[in-house]
Amino acid sequence: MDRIAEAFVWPVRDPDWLTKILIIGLINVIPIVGAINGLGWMLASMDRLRSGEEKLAPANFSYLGRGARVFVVYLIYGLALVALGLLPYIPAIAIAVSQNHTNGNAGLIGLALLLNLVAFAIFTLGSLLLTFMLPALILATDRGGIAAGLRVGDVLRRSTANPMNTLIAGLMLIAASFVSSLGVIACFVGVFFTAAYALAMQAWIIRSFEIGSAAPKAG
Amino acid sequence: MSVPNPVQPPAQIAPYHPPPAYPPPQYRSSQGIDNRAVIALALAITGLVLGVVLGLPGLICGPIAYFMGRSAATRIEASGGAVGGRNLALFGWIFGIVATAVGAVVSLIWLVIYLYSISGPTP
Repeated sequence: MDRIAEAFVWPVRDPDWLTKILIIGLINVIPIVGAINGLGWMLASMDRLRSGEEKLAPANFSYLGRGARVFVVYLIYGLALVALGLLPYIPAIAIAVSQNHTNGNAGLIGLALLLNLVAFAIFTLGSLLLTFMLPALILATDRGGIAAGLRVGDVLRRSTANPMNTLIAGLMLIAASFVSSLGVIACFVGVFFTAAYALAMQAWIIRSFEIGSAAPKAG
Repeated sequence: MSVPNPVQPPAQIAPYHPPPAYPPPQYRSSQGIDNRAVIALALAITGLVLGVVLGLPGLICGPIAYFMGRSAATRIEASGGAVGGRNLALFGWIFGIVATAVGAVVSLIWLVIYLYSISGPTP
């Protein structure tokens, strides 16, 4: 688990890393399909790490099938989170709209604000939870398909089996998403390429999580 | 009457064992990770992510992450391999500096915006 921090540098150990990242970045430009292929490429890169080869998977369009399963599972979790967040958000908006500037009820406006805060908390905490569950989610889906990824109990059990492991992997995934967003600086187009680099980082992070889960608890 | 000695089989030859398969280069995971290194990592990432938007969290979390990361790295070195997490400590230490720098720049931008907004129009 200690080598997890190498996630930032491991892609450049591959002599062809730049070409591969550029190709995956270009494929990423295609809406939805690019993202699905990117996920599959990340899983293929993880396979290479499993075999001890610290090289990125070849960059091409052949990972759609593998990435689609993870994409579907993540989409379902994301939609569930949005639905949960909308439960307090819609009444909050309805109450806020019903109050006008001249004779607004202070209690109702307060309630609308409170419901807004609850919705915001659900979105924020839910996103964090999803980030920390992501390694277990991806591993379960990759092994057992969509059904395994949707077994929330199993995924949570795996995530909480070694909390330190999950915490470190989750933090590193947040760092990876930060790297992913750095491309915005380069006229927004750069984000596709930094996202590809972040996918390579994710492969390392999730592989480290997998090893850490298999090892005895690290204290 | 003597019984002829049966031909002794070459029983002392050890059965063939294939050489052990060398595992692929693995990540050390058995040793415990220093808690301070994990805290430094968490503070550095929190400082970086929040510091980009708000500035101040980067200025607060960054230096703490830096000092905790350095102290964790020293402890890990001193433990002589009993405690792991040196890379994490290093990561927390370096990103603590980055978070501080980002936090300082963003805080400065917010300060300029604030001063500009409270200053009245020039006559």
